[in-house]
Amino acid sequence: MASKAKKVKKPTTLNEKIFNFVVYGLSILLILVIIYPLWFVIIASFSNPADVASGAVWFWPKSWSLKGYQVLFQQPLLWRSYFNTIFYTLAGTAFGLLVNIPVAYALTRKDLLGRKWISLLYVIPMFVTGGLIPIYLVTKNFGLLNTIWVMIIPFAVSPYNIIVARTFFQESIPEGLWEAAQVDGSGTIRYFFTIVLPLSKAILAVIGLWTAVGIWNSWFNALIYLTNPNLQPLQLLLRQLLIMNQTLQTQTTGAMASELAQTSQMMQYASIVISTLPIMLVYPFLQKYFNQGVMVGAIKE
Amino acid sequence: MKNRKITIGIGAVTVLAAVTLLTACGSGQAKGNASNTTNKNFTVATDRWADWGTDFEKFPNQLAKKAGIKVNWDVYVDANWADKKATILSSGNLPDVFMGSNTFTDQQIAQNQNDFIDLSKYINEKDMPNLMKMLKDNPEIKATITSPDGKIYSLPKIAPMRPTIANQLFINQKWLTQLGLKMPTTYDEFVNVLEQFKEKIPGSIPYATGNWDPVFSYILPFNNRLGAAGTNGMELYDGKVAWAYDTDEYKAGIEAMHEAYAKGLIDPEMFTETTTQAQNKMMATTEKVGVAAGWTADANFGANAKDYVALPALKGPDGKQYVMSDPDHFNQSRNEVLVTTHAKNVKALMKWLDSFYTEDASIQNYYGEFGVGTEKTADGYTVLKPTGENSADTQAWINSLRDFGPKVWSEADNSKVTYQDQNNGDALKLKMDATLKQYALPAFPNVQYTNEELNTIAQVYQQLSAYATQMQAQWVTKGGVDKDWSTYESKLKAMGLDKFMKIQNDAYKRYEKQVNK
Repeated sequence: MASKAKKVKKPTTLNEKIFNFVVYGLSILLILVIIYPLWFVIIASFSNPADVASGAVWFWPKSWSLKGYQVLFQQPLLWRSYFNTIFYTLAGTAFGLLVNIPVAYALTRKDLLGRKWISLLYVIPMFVTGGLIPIYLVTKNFGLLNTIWVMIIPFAVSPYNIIVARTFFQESIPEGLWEAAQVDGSGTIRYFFTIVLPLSKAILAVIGLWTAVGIWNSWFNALIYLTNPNLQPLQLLLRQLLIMNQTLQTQTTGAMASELAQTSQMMQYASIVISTLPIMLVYPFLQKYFNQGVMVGAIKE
Repeated sequence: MKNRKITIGIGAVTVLAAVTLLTACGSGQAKGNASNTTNKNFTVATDRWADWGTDFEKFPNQLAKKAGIKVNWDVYVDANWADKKATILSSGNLPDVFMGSNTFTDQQIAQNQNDFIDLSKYINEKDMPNLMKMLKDNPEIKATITSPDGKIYSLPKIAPMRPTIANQLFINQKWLTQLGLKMPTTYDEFVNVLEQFKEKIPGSIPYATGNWDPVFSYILPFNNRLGAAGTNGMELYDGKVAWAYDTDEYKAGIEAMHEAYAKGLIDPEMFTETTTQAQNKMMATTEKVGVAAGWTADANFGANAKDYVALPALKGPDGKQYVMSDPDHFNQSRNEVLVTTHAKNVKALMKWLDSFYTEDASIQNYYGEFGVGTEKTADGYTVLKPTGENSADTQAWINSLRDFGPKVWSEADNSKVTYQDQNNGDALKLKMDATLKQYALPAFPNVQYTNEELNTIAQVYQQLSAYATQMQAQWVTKGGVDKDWSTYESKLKAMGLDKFMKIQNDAYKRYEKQVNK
């Protein structure tokens, strides 16, 4: 509550005024630099592609056109892959939390046998990975290739997230709490669900959001492990549309090259908008958890 | 607390053990299928330019049913293909067949030769009568698919209804009429027309980048007939092998192009712009482009296409007319079918593949099956009008393997085919072709290289072509080709041009020998 009461001090000396002026000026500049590309993508998506390529569009849409969106929404697999992405994101995030959070908590418990060694086992793959081909073969041998599970199960465990969550548990949940709970007759499981988790909403939100954004934006796993177009996520579909014309000029002769190039160019900006918007809308709702920060004063020692 | 510690420890060990067990089961399952000769199920992987659905599989599946096998398709979109290919090859998770010459280049086949089987022992009169007939009728096709060691790693195609001429120039007829100009017939008249465009049409780009190499399209009247993409810039002059970037014809052409550039007739952004920018100039609402190269006017200029017509073959300074043509590469190819070591019962597979090599099958694999893309008539075939918003080209791609996969055709059969839609796609191109193909000259054929040669080409060519195109841009924009020429040639030599040319000459000699056998 203390932070709310703090008022911005009015600048008194000239020196301070200049300092404030420079700081505000730079911040505004920085904000503009970050916002402009986003703004450009949005206006470009509503403009005639010819004007975008010729540089006529720079601040306001020119010759309004919804053609990009129109062509995009005509893509037969767009809705299907939109649905897939949402499903992978929801299921993948839930599964990610399910596997990472309990591990992170377990690793904070001093009574876990071989705690250090288990921690080490999680840390090693962060630095040394098997490489694409061995992982591909393992995935294949598990029969996960070309199933929805390949997007959810194999890459759910994230050592990085585990370490972050572990640190959170260590820092903000005092050990005394566990002893107090034991005195009141609670077992580990009950303690974890009724005390630890409710106190850790912030870290759940943070890890959840990281996982969700990661899955939402990922295309490489889908590219490698999925062949069935009905299973592909949105990002993979959009990537195909976007890079369609890169190599076409040399590879095709005839009418097909230009036909494909036109389609892809019209859809570029529109597809960026439709793929980024939903995940950006999630941020404000989770913002409060980020602000809430670590819990203070849950227990008096 | 002690026993709790132990419980958790045991739990961890159990989980670990379970995971290990699962892994073991998985790997055991993968290796069940031993070799057999009764296998009827085959996996065919293919690469498509865009996601056009699965309708194209219908006709090949019909053929499979007749041949008594079942085909499962792994369809990859071109944008993903390179990454997928790498994983498939290195993991050994191979399909039985790769279909389409866009799946693998010669170099890639050479690098992964152990994954592909030699098909020559399956190609005989009894098992593959249709293919045998094709090879007998077209000795150059046999030369195209036979590698220098006598093995055959892939099956070929000759595409139906393909033009002789390739890309060419299109000119703005509206501007010609508006300015009262005659259609140019010689190179000098052509330059004159460009000058008029420049002077009298404000904001115009007299000569712009189209959908094909803008420099070689411009210098064509100087007898610079660059072959199709993928031929490493090889040309053929009266049976002599030459590299397109190192001839007197090229030098003369570049000099003329620089003169035009200095007069402001060439798009100054030609060497810096992206494909998208070039495309947008051609399709701008206010027409900007006078002349640009491409396949058909509608493919280049979109809504402006009605104003553009094909430029006749211009008389060059030597008084002769030239067109870009390279039927050996455009219309015929190897690598349309590659069979992997994974395939069991190749004989049954080859029976299916042989059934592609009939006229009926070829036309259906090119435009779509009877009743969908084509129709069989009393004296031949009719190609049906595209449905919905599809262009003729897209329509064909949706319903057939189109440019890829095995096929056979003879020029004589072209007269049997009629088009419901005369002003679209292939029909339009063939009409144009009829007037221009008389000027077509032989191009560098689709020769086979040894693995060693392919490696050398891969090493040398990158550098050669990078340097040549860099100098090309400099000469066209700043001039100086005459002054720099000897330095240029000696530098190309230092980069291994002699080695490169020896390979091309050897390969060409071998090809000629194979054809005349």
